[in-house]
Amino acid sequence: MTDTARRGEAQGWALEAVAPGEIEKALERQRRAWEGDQGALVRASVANLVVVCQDRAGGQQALAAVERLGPRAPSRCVVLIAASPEGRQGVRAWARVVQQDRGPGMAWDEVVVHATVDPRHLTAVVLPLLLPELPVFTFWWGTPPFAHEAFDELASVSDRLIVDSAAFADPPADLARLAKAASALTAALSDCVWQRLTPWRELLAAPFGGPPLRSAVDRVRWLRVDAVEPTAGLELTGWFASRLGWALDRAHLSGDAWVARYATERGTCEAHIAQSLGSGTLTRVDLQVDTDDGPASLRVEAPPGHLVATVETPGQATTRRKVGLTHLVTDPAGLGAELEVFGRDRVFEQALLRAAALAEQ
Amino acid sequence: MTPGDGNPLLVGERVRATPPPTAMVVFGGSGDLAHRKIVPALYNLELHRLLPQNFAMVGSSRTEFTDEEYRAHMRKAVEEFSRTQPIQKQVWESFASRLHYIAGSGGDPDTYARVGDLLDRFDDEHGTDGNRLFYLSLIPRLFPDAIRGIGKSGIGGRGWDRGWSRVVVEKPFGHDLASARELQALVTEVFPERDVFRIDHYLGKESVQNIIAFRFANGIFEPVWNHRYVDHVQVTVAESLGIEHRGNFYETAGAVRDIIQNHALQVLALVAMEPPATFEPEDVRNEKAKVLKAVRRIEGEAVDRAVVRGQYGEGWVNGEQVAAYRDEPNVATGSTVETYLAVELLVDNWRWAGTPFYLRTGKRLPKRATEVVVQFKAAPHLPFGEAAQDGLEPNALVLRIQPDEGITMKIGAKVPGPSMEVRSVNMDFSYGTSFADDLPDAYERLLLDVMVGDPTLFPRWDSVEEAWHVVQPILDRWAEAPPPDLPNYAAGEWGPKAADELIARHRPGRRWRRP
Repeated sequence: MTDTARRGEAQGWALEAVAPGEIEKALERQRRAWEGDQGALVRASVANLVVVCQDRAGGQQALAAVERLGPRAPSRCVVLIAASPEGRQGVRAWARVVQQDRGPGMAWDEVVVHATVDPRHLTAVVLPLLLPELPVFTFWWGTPPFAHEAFDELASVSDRLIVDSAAFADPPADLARLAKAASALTAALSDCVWQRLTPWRELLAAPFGGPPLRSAVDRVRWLRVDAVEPTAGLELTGWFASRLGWALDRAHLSGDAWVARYATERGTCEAHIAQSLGSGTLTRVDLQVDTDDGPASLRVEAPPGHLVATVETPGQATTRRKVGLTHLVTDPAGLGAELEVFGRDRVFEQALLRAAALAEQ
Repeated sequence: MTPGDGNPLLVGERVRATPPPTAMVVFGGSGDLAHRKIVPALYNLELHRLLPQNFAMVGSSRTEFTDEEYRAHMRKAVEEFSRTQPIQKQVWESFASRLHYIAGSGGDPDTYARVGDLLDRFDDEHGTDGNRLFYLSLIPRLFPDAIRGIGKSGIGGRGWDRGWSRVVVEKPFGHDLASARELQALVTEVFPERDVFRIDHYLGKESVQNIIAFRFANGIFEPVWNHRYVDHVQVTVAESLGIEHRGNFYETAGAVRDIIQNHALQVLALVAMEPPATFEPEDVRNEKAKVLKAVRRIEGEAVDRAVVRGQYGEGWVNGEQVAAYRDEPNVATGSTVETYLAVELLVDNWRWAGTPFYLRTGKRLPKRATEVVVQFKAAPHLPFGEAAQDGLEPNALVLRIQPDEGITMKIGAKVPGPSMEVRSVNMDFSYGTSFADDLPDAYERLLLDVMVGDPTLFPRWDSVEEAWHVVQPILDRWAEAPPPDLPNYAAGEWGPKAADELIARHRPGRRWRRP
């Protein structure tokens, strides 16, 4: 197909169907058309974002998610629909320039590639579409094929591999597989679930920075996590275990809840990860902590739109703090925040290993 | 993990370490700055989970308020001035429950006793751990009372051993060199220098900090960042606004004290300083102080040649007719206070010898713009022929500080076509397009820095003193020489004609960049 390709009529995408070899030309032409109508455009790119999904429905979801990110992390976005190569093999592509509705004529590129090719060749489909010298973030939509060559190949050309473990087919089991695969990855690894836990972790950590809990961080006795996304409960528990040096003593499934006992430097900690219904990642986390004056508790809950942290300590007035969940509107999955992280996240990697150990029980 | 060595849960890529427990006192707590900047900044820090868990604040002023009235007053302020809108009701209510108020006079010892009692209560009820941040959001003549009050009451300062105690002093730090030294003596009688945070909000702006990042994270510019390649440097701090009901203040300040002595010279220091060995606060502050010390003093009649002062007459700005400075409220009919200043400075060191730095600032200029222009020398030889290079100017690097934060590089490029014609084009980096998140307000960054005890972005006394050394001879000359005919520029113009002559006086063709 030439650069006179039809606009907006293929596959339901509001993109222009183009021959794979003509993508750059088509984007350049669209940019000039925009500029002819509305003045100079600033083509902004801070990264290459490759989104890998298995079918057209997944591609549409992925595109909708990354469109919200554009203004925050303008990137060359390549949505790769890696369809099963049964029957005739081929590559079809669509492309468009997206203009932001605020700012000084800022625009970025979106490319959709539907590839029915041998998975070994997916990397060859993606490589020509990347902008030079910008980091490559690969977001795998759904469950990555951990043991498959396509996973290794695409991961090998990425600086950062991002998954959303809440979207895994079998979240706990796939989380354990992810932890195993992580050890062989050269790319940094992220999980959007981990990103969505950030405000929870900040609120759970903060009370241990001052009195009266400052000296009690190694005396957590009981942890309960009510998790909407099961892997979030596992990763949060893994975070406590790795940061506080807990060793898994024993664990079992009780119904759909994990019950674990950890040996800590100052005794033991019982952990319960229960499933919960809600619209977020977690609905509630409870900690019980021994202090010099007796048992104290820390609770974080998630009413709509914000988080509430409540600290009850012996002989002190209960404190209740409410903080915002910023970025929730523009980046509900946490993918945008992932694009701002460059190096390896060692704290996550350690938490993932502990979470996987629990998930395997 | 070693429990007891800090908080192991606050380690890692994404979890942002919050400052230690803090009790904050804002003297001038019902005033304009608290209203527009301080409390909205604190609210946004809380919204973004950056305030310490153990935090409480008390505002103190003469105005009578109950705690509830103060909270309602501040809620309106946040609703009007917060950079995030609309405000989140639950977050505000949780934050406001830690806001308190004490009415009292700065000269009354009882005020400080009551503040001290409340701070003790904060330690018990909010776990603020004896850490105390005193913010002097006051007009300068009230600084001495507040500092003495803190010292005499023993609620902070030297000798305070229940935690840290720090004081934030708003600009201007002194009215002239002598009064700055007096203030310094008074402040350091109560607080050691390490606990004194002289706030200049310009230094908290992301785009000002980006000057440091740009210079010291990009190796390609350092070799040309000197007198061999740079023709001159311009620092412009332009305002389209007038004095905005601040006639009483401005009549005693003028552009020199309001902008040049602090903002403009601090920006000059960041542009001209040598690379610090580390980004440790004292390394950065040492380099800034050294370069300010190297700025040649202009004295006596030389002031008449190297400085242009101006005052706006009536005119049009942004499509509206505006009054002359002398017709503004609380301004003397025959006032000779400068609303505009342009000055040529030389930095006498190895790097910058002979390269002029032109600083200008003004009120009622055509637009609001703060920027630094590094104007490079022309290429030594252009082979294209005179007609082919008509539109070509020497390279320039523009560091845009506000409002459109970013960097522009002016380069020569071939005009498409069969002939070799070249002209200047701009290559733009805009913060708004590469980092499209809302930039935090400068006060948010600076308040956090005070709480964690990082003074990097706060001018140290030697920098402040050196800056006064630069401007004091100008003020002295003006005190004895007759002023020019004022007003000498119309509101809505880029200042007096004499400023254009100033920049071109050593090299015809030099001109101010039009922002």
